[in-house]
Amino acid sequence: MVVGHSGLTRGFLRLRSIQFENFRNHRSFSFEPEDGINLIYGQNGSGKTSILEGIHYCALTKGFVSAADGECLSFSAGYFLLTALFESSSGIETAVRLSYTKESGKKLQIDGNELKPFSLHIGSIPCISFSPPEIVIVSGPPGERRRFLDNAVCQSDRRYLDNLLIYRRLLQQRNALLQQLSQSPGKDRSMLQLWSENLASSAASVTAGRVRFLAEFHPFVESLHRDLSGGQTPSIEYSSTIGRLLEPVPESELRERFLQRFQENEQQEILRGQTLSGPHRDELIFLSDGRESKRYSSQGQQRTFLISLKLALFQYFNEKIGETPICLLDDIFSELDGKRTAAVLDILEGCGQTLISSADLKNHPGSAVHHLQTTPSTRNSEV
Amino acid sequence: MRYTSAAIEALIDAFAKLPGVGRKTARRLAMHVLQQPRLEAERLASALLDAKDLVVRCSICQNVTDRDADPCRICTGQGRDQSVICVVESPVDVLAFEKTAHYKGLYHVLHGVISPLDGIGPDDINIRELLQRLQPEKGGEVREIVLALNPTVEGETTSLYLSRLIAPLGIMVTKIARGIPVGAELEFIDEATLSRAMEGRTTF
Ligand SMILES: [Zn+2]
Repeated sequence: MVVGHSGLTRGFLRLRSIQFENFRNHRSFSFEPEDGINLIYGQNGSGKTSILEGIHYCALTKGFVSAADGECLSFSAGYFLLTALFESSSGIETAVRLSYTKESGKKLQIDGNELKPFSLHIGSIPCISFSPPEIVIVSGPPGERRRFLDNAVCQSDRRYLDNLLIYRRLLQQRNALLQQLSQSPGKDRSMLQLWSENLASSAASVTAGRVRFLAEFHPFVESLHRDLSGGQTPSIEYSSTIGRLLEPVPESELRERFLQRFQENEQQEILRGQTLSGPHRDELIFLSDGRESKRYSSQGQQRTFLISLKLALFQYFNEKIGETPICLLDDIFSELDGKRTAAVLDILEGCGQTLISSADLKNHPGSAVHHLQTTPSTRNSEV
Repeated sequence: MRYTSAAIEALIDAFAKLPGVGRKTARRLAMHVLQQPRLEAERLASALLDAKDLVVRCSICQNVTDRDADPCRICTGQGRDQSVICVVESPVDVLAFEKTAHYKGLYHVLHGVISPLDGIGPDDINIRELLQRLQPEKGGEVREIVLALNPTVEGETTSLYLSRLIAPLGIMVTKIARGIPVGAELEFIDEATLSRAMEGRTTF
């Protein structure tokens, strides 16, 4: 083993190797990163981003942003296959094999055994990413922020993902019933009460999980964002359909409030055939010095907010689950200015494994450097 | 690729409609039938028809039984505790509990759970038949209803619905304990776990 970085005294989660087959522009490619900071250089189209995305897939069973798995297929290929070997801080190896075909979708194998549902895998390989399209987390519609939040809570709270999946199913069921009621107004409404009660309990546990997470997470964002933005104070507000939740509220109270809201809106919900309040409609608001980043921040400021969020996650996971996440930073040098990049690397240096893709050669002392060639057939990693 | 015989194609189509059978397996099964003596094919055909013609739902518990054995063996069985009814979704769940050989009460098979997405409401599963078994004129023997539905969103909602209907009748409603992983189907859980789940049941 080559030690890529000095000063590593404690163990951490690391990716040993990853193989790509028909994944985006990698027909057949294997990659072995070093410990510490890895810089992956290559021109546009050399597949450097796909390397990071493939690792993200193996850790979290999906890409950076919501997109169809089929988009990751190499041109005219019928399947893609990713195989990766991870090693935990305590030295336990995990072999991940993720395959996709158009016919049977995604399949996940852990140490040779098929794993279902995928939710069982989430959290076992903590991983954070920073990539240009993810700017929608700050600048885009509310759904992007909910997705960010759910991904973050899921990785640190095993039960949250179960609760979220139950919530989604209950929501589908209640919406189906609302649609039936809207089509035949004379139908008995007594079943709606039962689904409303169940959905209210589930909505309360999902909301409580989110608010609890945000309360613990906020201090990390605060100090990072202050440093990276040159003194701005960030805040994160959870704006629920049952009102602003600025601090954790007991689950029983949340349940009552959801139930009350369902009852108040019953007529309208039947008319529209859908559930109008609940965590699936809640909004997360990022503010910098009291002003909403989505509306009032420049693109540069929004990027800074995003990297603060991501690094805060890194620190939070590190503390909360005792395993240093793998960091995937796509094109960070062109996204952030030199001062901020240096600050980011400063934080990541000496803890865990970081992979950075870039089109320009930048020297960073102590990091492993990989060059990607652009001819697809001979593409290889050199250290 | 299609075979030159329409009869073979029809057989393959029929096998491929079975749950869990893909096109490839269907072809293998069809070839197997062709290679067997005619007698074997007759046995298969009559087993299929017998199942359709002779199997009925037990008039008491709604589990599957033969036409000439209604009420079923469990409902009429000696040594069964007539005061406990375990409510399950489907006949395979009865089989799972019977394999544990620990539970000695009766069953009631709902043949489904409430699921608006599938257009299934309380009237579409055998809830009315369950309530009839609990009427005082039936002897008032039933003291406990054990809800053993799958721990899915639909199973839990059906359990809640049943507990609200039954509790006012003065009958104890319990639910099997949850040593069971969420999302797991009862029929795939090992017998020891299922046995413990039945013993550790809690009042709803
Ligand atoms: Zn019977």
